[in-house]
Amino acid sequence: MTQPTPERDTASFAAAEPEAIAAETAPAEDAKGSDDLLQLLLTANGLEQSGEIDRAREIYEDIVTRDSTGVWGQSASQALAALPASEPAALEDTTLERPDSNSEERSTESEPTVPLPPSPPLDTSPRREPKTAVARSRGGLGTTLKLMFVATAAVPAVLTAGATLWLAPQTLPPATTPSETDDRDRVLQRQTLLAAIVGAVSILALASLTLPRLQRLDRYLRQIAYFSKKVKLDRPTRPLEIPEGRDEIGAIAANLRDIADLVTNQNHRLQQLERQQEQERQRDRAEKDRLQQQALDLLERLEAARSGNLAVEAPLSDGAVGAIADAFNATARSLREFVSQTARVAADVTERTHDSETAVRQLSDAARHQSQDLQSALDTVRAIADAIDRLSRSTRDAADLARQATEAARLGDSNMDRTTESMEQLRTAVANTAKKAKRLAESAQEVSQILAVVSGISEKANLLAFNAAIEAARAGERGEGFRQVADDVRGLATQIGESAGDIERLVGSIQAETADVLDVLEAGTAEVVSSTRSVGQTQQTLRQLSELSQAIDGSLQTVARDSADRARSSQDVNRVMEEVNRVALTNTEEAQRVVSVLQGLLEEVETLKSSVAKFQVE
Amino acid sequence: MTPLFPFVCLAHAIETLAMKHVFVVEDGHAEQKMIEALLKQAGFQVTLSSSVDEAWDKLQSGSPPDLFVLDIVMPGKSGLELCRTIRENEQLQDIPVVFCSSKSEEFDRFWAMRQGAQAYLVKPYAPKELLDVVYQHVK
Repeated sequence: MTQPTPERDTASFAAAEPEAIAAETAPAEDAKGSDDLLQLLLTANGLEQSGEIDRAREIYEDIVTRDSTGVWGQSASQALAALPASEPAALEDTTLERPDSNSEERSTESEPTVPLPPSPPLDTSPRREPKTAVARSRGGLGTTLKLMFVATAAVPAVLTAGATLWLAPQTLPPATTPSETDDRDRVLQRQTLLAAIVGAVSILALASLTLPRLQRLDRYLRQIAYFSKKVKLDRPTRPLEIPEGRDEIGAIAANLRDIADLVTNQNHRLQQLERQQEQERQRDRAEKDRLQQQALDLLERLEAARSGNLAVEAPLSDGAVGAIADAFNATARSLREFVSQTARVAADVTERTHDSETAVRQLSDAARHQSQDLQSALDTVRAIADAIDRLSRSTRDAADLARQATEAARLGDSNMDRTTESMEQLRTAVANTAKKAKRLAESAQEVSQILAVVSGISEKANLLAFNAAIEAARAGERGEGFRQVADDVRGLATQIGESAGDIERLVGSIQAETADVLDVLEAGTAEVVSSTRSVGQTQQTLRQLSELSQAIDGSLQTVARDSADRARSSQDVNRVMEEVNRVALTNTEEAQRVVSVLQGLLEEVETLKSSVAKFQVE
Repeated sequence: MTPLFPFVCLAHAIETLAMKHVFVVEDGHAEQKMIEALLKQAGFQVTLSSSVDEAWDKLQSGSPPDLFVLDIVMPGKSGLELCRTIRENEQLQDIPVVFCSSKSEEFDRFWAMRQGAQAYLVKPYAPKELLDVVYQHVK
């Protein structure tokens, strides 16, 4: 199956042919280095492939003589061993039978240092002898024994059966009555006895015939046993007293004699074989020792690996231990990879866990801070809510006050209305008084004018009285009475003049008083007017105040509404913030839990690392 | 330079492309030379490596070969190790592997074949043996 087809060979080596021929024709003197040996090997191989076996053999032999222990020489000797024989040679028999390429038996046969023992004639002669003996003595002892067996076994049986059959038809009528049944039983007993007698007689006759033969056979066999025992014990023995060539016993005796000769002849050969066997045993022992040593080496490595040193490599020795070592190396290699990977992963996990732990701790702290901030914010919001509540109450109070102010302003307004009315009446009254005072002043003035007239008349009356007194004095005594009257008129006139002056002074004072009254009245009027104006302004102010109060009331109501809204909103905010705070607290707890989990993980990883650290991988 | 040079080059390239590629990993210098010479004489393209690591580097960069010839006992990783790696690699797992080793016991052959090799040659071997095995298994 490993033999390539000739077509392919010739095709593939056609190209190499000229080179090969060139190398062959070149003298081989300079073939000293390995390159030349290689060239020779190639040439020989080319020749072998192209069918020139003899020339190839010559070159191979040349290579073997030059380089008997090297790679080239060994390859060449292998090639020589595999070359097909050109002429029949006894030595080539074994190599010819053997398959060309890697056969199973090759490893055992490839030891040319241990020559095979020369083929012994012992193997052939006994093999041929029994054949002829069997051929010659066909119908001999075997047949006799078979006949004796048949006679002893079959003849009595056949005779008995024949006797029984011969007796049976006449003596076995069908049984109908009890007396007949008794007769039948009797007849049967008789027949059985008869048949037994016939059998016994025939057995005795046959035994007398066969016994002497068996005795002789026994004797011969004893002799053969004794002889073969002697042969086995390797002692000189007297020859067998058995006539030759009669039957198998004779043949066995002849063969035994031959064997005895052969045993004697092959003694030294056996010794040789024993020596060889001893050598082989020694070799086996050495092999066993080697195997044991290999196993010990491997066990040492296994022990080292078990204690954690995975960097061990077992040597790839020959045989099963080498294969186990290779499997062990492969296992150790994958374990090394696994351990390295585990260590890497553990380191990675540690690092990441540390990072994560820090991050989670920060997160936890942040969450705690957040919670605290939220708590204070919550307090603030609560304070704001309280403030809003208080504000709401104050606003309500202020609204009440504003409403009261509005009411008061309205009341003031109506009072002012009444005041204005009174003032108006007062002004009218003052105006009337002033008018009357003016008319008084005018009357006083008229009185004054009249008084001036009276005063003139009095002065004229005085002058008239004086004139009358001067006329009376000239008229002497007769004129006395007249002078009297004239004096009286002059007194009257002076009196009138004095009274007129008094009246004038009175009128003057009346006029002055009236002027004062007028002044006062004017001032009062002005006062009233300004008071009226002030009252109007006050009223205006009160109205504005009322409006303002109303506006304030409205605003306060809005504020109250707003603050109610704000109170609700702040409650909402409060709720939300409490929720947030709860979440923040939960976060803190979670973060702490995660931290503890991470610490647990770190511990686990440390355990893993210390386990992994037990293994050496480099 | 002849005017035919480009054609010669082309022919050479086609020939190289058509040549089957054998990847040899063997630490012995003389053995390397012998395997290379034998395979080249038989018309194969040969890549040589002296260790498993070197071989693996070369395999990473180059195109996959048509056949591997591996020694077993080498310094560093063994040929068995390389064979296992080859069998685990998607691109290389179908490429036949031939072991050439001086480990001559039957169990060595059994174990090497068990690692996914197609043939096992015991050193020393006749040149024809190697070529026959390579011919038989190369695709």
